[in-house]
Amino acid sequence: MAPSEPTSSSRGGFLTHALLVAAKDLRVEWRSREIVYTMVFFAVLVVVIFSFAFARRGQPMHEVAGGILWVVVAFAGTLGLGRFFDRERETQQALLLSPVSRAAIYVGKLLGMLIFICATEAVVLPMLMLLFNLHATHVGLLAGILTLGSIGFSAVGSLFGASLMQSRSRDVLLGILLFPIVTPVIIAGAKGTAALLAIDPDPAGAVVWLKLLAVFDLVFVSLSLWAFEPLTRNE
Amino acid sequence: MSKIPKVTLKEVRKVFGRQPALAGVSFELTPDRISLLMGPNGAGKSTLLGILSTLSPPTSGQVLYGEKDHRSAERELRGRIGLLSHNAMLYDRMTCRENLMFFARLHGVDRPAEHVARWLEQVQMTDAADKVVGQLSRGMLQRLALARVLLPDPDLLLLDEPFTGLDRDAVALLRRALQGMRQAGKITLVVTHDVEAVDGLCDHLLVLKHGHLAHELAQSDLRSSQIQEHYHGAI
Repeated sequence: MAPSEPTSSSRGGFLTHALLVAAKDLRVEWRSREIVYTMVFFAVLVVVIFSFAFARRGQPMHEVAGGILWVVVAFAGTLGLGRFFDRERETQQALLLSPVSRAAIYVGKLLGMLIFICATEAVVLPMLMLLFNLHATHVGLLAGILTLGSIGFSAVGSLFGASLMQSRSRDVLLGILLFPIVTPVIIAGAKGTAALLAIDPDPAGAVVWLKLLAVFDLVFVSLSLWAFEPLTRNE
Repeated sequence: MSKIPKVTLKEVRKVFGRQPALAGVSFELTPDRISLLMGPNGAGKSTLLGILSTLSPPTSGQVLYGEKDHRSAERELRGRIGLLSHNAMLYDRMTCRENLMFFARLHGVDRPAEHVARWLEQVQMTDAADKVVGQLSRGMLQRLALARVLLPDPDLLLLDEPFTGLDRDAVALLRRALQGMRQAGKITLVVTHDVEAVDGLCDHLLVLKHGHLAHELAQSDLRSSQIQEHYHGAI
């Protein structure tokens, strides 16, 4: 019954293991497409509703576009997070019993969630620009704000998503725990995006918000790397 | 840490809220024998498996893996413990081969493709290798789960109701796997109510009742009638 014994070692570094977990999540999503489709569908619907709600004398209100984008990221992201970690509920123990560092598992989950959020943004942003008649002049800076904001949201979301996996009321708790902590990200993202999408763009103002997002990411990714292991332990 | 020479539980207690699940359990698991853990529902069997797998720490007491305490050995033990639970811990949207490849890579198994092919053959799943796990029958799922658990060559094997849903061939396959583990000097603990399936297989019987070890018996090749007799005598 025992084929030649495999040589098990902790081969492969931290990044290899993180990429392995992320690649697995992407493969599963590629087969089902349920998370990204749900997130995009919800996001598109919200943008269309807001484009009608925020109109003055038949003209869209440019200044609210940044806020709409980040409200969409927050809600569509939470929707995706719930399902993303629900998939791992049955396999979590096998994953945690592997000799891989828990931090690598966390980074893998963060990367997977980040890709789903970026895919949603890639659909929603052009649509928002079209419906609100916006022009992006500082594309690099805008991409930086979107990426850093998405990292911040995914970092905190992945931590709570994983720690609430076995909780019966995880759908309710996820929102309650996540939103107060990611509020600075949403505010910084909305203000930075609004500064760049304004009729008279303010790149210097956007850089300030970008730096704030970078600091937030640094603090929360570091804290999550440390907290992931105790929070995923079944006490 | 070299191979786990034995596992010793000393006055292990586990309390959930105010509810004690285990109330001071002490016993020893040694290689070269298959231990059988029995008990009525709510006796603490699954809690005990959670503690032995290091996924859930005891509230008090000590679990020694060789000479090392569960707290100090936890990281070293990851990848050395195989847990087969009620659920198969496999990804529904991935094929059998992809699932095993994923776990083989996580465990750092050398030449993973080769080992996965051998294990698929061992559990008679070669023909279904490229089938999506979600399409498998309960019996096939359990065979694949067995391959997932045995592929990294664990030192300690914990099986929770492993015979559920298995046909005769699969039961024989699992029995051969357990005998193989015993011959290889691995520590094996089986939780089951299916005494016919373990007839003449186990050498050590543990009966849990209300979180206490109600009975312990060490005897080679325990027959199902003997198991029944001792079990009913204990509860």
